[in-house]
Amino acid sequence: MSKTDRLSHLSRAPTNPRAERAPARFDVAELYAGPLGDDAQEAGGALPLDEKLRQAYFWIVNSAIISPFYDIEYDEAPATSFALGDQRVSVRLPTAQSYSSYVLLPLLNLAVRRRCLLVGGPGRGKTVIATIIGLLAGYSNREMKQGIQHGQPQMTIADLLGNPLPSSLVQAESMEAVKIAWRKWLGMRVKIIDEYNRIPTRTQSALLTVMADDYAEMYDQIYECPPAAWYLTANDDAGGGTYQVIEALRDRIDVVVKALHFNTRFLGALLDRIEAGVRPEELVPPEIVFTQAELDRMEKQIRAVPIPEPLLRRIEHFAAEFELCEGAAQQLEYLTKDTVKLAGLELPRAADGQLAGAQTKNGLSVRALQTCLVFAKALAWFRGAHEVSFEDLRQILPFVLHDKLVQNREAAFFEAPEHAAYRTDLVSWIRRLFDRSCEDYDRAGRDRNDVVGQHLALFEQGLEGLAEEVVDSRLATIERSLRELEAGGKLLGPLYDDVLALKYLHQRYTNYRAWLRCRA
Amino acid sequence: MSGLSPATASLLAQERERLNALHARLGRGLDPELVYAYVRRTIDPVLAALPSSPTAAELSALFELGLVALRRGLVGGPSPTAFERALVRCLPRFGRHFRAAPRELFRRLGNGYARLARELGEPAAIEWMESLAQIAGEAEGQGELSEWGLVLAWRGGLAEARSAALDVALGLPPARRAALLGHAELDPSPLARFCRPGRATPLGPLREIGQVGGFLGFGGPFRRPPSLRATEAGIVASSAGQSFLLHADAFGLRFVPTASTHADATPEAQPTLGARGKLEWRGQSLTDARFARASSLVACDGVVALSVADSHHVHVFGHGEAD
Repeated sequence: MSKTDRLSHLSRAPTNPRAERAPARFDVAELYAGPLGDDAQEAGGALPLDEKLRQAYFWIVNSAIISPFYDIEYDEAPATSFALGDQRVSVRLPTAQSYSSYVLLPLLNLAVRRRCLLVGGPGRGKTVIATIIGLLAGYSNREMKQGIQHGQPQMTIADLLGNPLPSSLVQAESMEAVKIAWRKWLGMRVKIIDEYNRIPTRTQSALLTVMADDYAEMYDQIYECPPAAWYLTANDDAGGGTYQVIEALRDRIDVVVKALHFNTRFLGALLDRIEAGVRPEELVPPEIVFTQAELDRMEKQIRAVPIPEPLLRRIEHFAAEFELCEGAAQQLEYLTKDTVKLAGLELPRAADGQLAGAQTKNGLSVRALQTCLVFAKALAWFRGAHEVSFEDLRQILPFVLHDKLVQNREAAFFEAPEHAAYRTDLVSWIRRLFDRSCEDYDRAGRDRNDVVGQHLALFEQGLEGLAEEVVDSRLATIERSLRELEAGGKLLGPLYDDVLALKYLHQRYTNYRAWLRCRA
Repeated sequence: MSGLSPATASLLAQERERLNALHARLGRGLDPELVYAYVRRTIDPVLAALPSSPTAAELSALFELGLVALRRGLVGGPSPTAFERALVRCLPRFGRHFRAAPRELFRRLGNGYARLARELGEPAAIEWMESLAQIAGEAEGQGELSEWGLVLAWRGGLAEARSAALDVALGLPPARRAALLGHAELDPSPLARFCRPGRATPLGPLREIGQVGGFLGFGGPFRRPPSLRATEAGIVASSAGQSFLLHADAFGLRFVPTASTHADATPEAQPTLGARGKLEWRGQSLTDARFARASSLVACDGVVALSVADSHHVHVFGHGEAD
């Protein structure tokens, strides 16, 4: 095989032999779907979409980008591990198919059409991977080059969005009459903003509207952008750069990926490329290019991947750890870090600095939680799994929450020498937070003993037709549950959310009882 | 290319440019000798056996999908695969269906064959294609033919197709049902699932229908001995973090991967296990010392399943026909 052929070589299906997704109910069409494609597909594109995306992944890691890293680890048998150096750094050898976050997450971002930030020093291939993703979405190399927005200190809103046509500007009698020449990149399904932290603040605000709400506005006119996968690059993870990135823009970023260093043992592969005189962007195999319809189907399939109920309980437990701030208020509902932040004060030092809540300056937003769920589904789908597994969630959380959970570096936890590295290694820190949360969850036996969950499930059955004595009995049970919680002592994040949920249920039943009495 | 029938040779010459373009698109990297061999031993005899002169569309379908099948291993290397041999025997018998929509028919036959060969083995797939070819002439269109194919696949052992195939079979005229299933009488009730169509006697006593499952290393689905639970979708076996739905009836016993998110089933009469492995369900019992070591025992929709702590197999019980 020549060097050029090697660069365009595709891994043969099945790329993950374990992957097999079964339908809920057998259908006639199931029998007639298979290796020769189905009636709706062209004969050449008969691969299932997850298989096609895996092939794209393996092409990128094996041929396009030299990324010999496996930091998203899966095991199907106990892994062998080693400890190296003075710090006894752990080296684990995963026993199941594992992945490089630097390639996998941008690909998943294409599948779910979210916003991915690639961070890392210059020359690490951040723009290259974003460009390759654009090529996989069906754009030509030339279109991608034209579409990349290069952040620079002089970038104006007109540079970003477009210009009014001078002739119409002179003749127009109203704002609506001004014709705008919108920039072509606004209509693309893959959008790349290179070095976004070099864009001036005012232009960042215009970018925010496009990123957050999928439209651009100029001269009272609106350009509606199609749903797109966004890729932003930055050399500085901390949001530095020429301009401070506005918080709302940072908050819109769904997933953060680090471009890792170049492993010098792979210098030979670099030499091959120089000698072959080709760039990976020029050799994307047509078999792994997705049509727009395929991208739409892929996103739908991902949304349909179920998350098992017990796993959802664990996410709830984990997410509840961060918002509570006990000294923040008198009123139960305001006992949050947000209350302190809105008052412009510093968070009080927590009595127990080891708690997960004490390690962060904020809680998780609805947007952050949604993104966690979406990317967990995407990872499970990519692996060909029937549903999201615990490990899918554990692996994806650090990348989604990377910029969402703000570390409280003053917390006592980080003062311990063995925890100092967590100040810089956010991925390991977040994974550790999740592991500890799951240990607490298991210790409390929440899978078997979830009183509040039972109250909520009962309420979910509806109030329609409930007799007053049943309502009375449920109210008494809720109050009994609160008495038991009261006796339990320490108020922790998950307990705080449980108490709020019980209060909510109590109120709903109380209102219903009042309505029953009024009718009587 | 030599050794071809005159009709095929003439069609190939006429379609040369289009076929070359297809080859350039779909056959990149394939050894040309393999493509020639496929044309000689499969395309040519199929076209020659068609009831009327072959058309360019028929040749094109066989050629184009053949290239895809070559890549997927369905069509073989130096010697023909079982699929190719079945195709040569059966495809001409699909007559007007092949003439009307050659690509669709070839694709459906290929996919159906591949699925059954994977799930039930090659002999079952061959029998399915032969049976379908036998009755193809009586089907009005490909939609009807596909539905008949589903019923035949169920009869061949694809137990997960039971519910969809029952829907189709019960809507067919009795004579057609009899042709497909061997008898026109069909009892769709869950309790009678282990009786073949045309049962003449009442339901027999509770008995062990068979065992299903097995260790992953020996071709089964389970990495560890499974545990069972009754869900709204049926009986689900869990093993090493993976879940499988049990499909069981008179035509087959199979585990199919599923999600573990199914809600628990609404309670129905559950079996009990007494001393010395006495299994009781719905007033009937059977005893086997092996059952005393049961790790889980559930019933759902006329199927009783029992797992044993040290076995990768699941025992399946139900009511067959009376002797």
